[in-house]
Amino acid sequence: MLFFSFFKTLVDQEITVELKNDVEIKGTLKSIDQYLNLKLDNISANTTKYPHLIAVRNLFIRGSNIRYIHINPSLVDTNLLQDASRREAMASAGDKIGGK
Amino acid sequence: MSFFGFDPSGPPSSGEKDQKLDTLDFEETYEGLGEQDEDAFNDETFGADVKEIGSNFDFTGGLKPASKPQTVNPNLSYAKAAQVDQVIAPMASLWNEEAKTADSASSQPASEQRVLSLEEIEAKLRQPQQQVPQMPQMNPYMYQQQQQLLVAAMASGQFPNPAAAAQALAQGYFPPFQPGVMPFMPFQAQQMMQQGALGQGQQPQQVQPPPAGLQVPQVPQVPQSAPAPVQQQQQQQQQQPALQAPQALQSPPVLNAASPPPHSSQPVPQAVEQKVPASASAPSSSATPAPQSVQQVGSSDATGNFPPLGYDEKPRKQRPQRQNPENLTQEEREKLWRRQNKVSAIIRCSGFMNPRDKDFVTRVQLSQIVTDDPYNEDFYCQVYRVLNSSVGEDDMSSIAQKYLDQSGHRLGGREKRADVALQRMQQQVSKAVTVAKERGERTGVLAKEGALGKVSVGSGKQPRKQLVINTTGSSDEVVVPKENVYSKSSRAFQLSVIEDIYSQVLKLESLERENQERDSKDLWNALRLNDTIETSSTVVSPFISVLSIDKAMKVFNRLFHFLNPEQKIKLMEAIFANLHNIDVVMKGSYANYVNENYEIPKTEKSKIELFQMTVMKTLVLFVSESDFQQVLRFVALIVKGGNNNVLFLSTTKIGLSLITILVSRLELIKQEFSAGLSPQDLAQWQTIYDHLFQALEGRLATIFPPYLSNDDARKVRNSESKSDDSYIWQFLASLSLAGLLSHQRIIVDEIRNEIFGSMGVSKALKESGDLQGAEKHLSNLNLFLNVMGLKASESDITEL
Repeated sequence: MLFFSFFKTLVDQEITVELKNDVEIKGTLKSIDQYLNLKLDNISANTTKYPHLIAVRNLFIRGSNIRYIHINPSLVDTNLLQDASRREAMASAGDKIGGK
Repeated sequence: MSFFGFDPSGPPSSGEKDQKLDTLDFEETYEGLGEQDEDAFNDETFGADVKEIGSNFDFTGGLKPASKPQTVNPNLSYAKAAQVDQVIAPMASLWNEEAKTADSASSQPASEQRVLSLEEIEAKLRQPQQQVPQMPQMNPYMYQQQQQLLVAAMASGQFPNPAAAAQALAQGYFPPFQPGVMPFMPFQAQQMMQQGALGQGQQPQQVQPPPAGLQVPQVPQVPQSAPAPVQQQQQQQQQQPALQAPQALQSPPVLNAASPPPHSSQPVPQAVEQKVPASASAPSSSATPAPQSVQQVGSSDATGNFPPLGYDEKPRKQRPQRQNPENLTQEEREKLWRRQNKVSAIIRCSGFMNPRDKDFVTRVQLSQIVTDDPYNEDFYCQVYRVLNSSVGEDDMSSIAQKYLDQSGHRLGGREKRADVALQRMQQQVSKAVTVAKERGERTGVLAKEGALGKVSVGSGKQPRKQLVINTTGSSDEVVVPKENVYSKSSRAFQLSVIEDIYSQVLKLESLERENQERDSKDLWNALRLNDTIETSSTVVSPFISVLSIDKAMKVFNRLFHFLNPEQKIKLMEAIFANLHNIDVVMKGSYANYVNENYEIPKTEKSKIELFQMTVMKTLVLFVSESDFQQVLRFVALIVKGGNNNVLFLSTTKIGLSLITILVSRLELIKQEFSAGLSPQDLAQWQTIYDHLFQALEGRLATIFPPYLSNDDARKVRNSESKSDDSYIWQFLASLSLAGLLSHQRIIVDEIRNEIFGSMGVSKALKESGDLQGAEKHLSNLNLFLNVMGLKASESDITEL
């Protein structure tokens, strides 16, 4: 759930999604679920190469089709991300932290 | 009930007339292939009746049985209802067509007869619907919204019974609800049917199967096309010929059977097919008005103003000239038509799920997403939100709100009902959390006796199946696998020490957030200050050896915060005593890089910067709050390391800065709080200072790295030469501040060349126009000179 948790904080931020079929789509992340399926709004893409995207404003992307997601580094709290992954690792190792 | 087409021997039994057809078509199309019927196994394969199969085979195929659900079944699932949708569609179009052709083409009494029977059909179909009074002219979409709203309100538990809910929600046009009647599915199914009719109506031209089509070869007179199906029925059913027409029309399935879908008219010659609409429209221009009005009045009488099932608005609008030429202008009609188009496009795919279905799906989705343990499974998001938002939100409501926003799942259907929806969603969330808690106990794991592990069921949190190794073995003591036992000098060991520290820090931070008692004992043990490991050069405690690893430096401030005062002091003392053993200090000395033109490697430089930002910041903060004796002990620890130790530290930026801080802290306390200091303290400080000075005396110039030196004899230029040298002058300033006049003389004497060199550089910079650089050099120099009451300019040194 770490990445789900992480991407939830990126909702309403601009991201660029690179799909496994090399299409690159930039847009505002509207929602994400535990499979990392995305909903993007106000998308823009290379429409000279992919003209079928000209008329598309928002779309849903199945998480398994995504190769990369480019994000603004300033939106990532790396120290917090490290802590979150440590907590998750501790929990899965049986050394669960009880409180917050 | 062969009537409904269930009789398996139906098609063959349709008799001699079909065989007549056979003889007409078979010879032309099959070219004698029919003779192969004599295959010995033919009957076995196709059944005994196969020979009689004619051209009137059942085009409606599986539709006939499927159309049964019209006697609406309350237990019908929506999936089945969707099927009904498909099934009903052609039938609806048939009614259209038949009614129209009846209106236009047949004689007056015949059409009246037909209209009556249609009413009967509608009445029959609408039986469940009539339990709920219909709103006049309410379209199915609005109707559906009404229902959803009502059901949502009731399910939310706000109202004691449906009647109360209905009353509360009635908005002018909303009819009173009959208590005790909650037929969800009937509504749904009915909507399906209406939608089916509408959807089909979108392509009236295609749907227009001339009912006369099949009959054309036999009965070429087109105007008689309307009675033709009835005739066919009669022949097919071969029973009750007199009552045939009303009965047949009462039962939609039969109608369906009688009217072949569009493609069934393929055998019909093209010309005839084209002729049908023309002939249908031709009489209509002359004779239509009367039957039409009769029909409309009749249908509205029977159904209480609800638009008749077969008469969706679409086809009427698409052929306005024929349908109601008198009421609307062209513009209005087009507008209405466009609107209808839109509405039908919207409702075509709506209403497949009732609110309960939606709630169920929502609950499933939510239960995957929510967790009873957000700080372990959703730590990043939770803390990030706290850090990056000024207002703390209520957790449940924020999840519910967020979900509503994201899914666009407004149960109320309208903006003003969003609060109801939100309330419901909150209930859903809390329910889902309970479910998640329960599920946490019975772990979703499939276990097989004797297996190595268990296969976990893919869940939302762990979409991938994985092997869960049995850990519930009997062994209590933890057997560390061989590969996890590190040699104490290995990097893996160092990293494991750091991770231990992190785990302890995270636990303590969690306790801190919960405002609970915390005990730093575990953390202290994790530091392993009493343990020793051998490094390449010396024997130190593991913590000192890891302190030069980035993530250890980063955690320093956090761990320091949790230590109790004694532990803090112990840790500080350990650090000051081993300052020269800390890797980042050691490698920061320019003396290591004589052969590289005193160029400190980039990685070391960034580590030094990180150390200054993290560890040193914490140390400085601690020192600035420590008392005189404490700071004195720190200096003593450094001096105790020996002259070489002090000398070595003075060649490093970190070492020199730390000594500067300690000395100036002592001097500050001495000058500001001299009253609080005992003569012993002062005497002790004097002794320690003497030791410190002795270590440096005679080699003071070496504190200037050659690349920062301005002494012509020593100076070397490299990429670092332009960097800030103020830390050196600060050290000299604090050293002379703490010293006597004799000390100051020695200092000035030893670094005379540096002083004049710096003045010279400043002068040269000024001449070349770099006033800022010149000023910087001078102000750094004056940091030191001002302590002794002197002031330097580009050309000379004066007293202040």
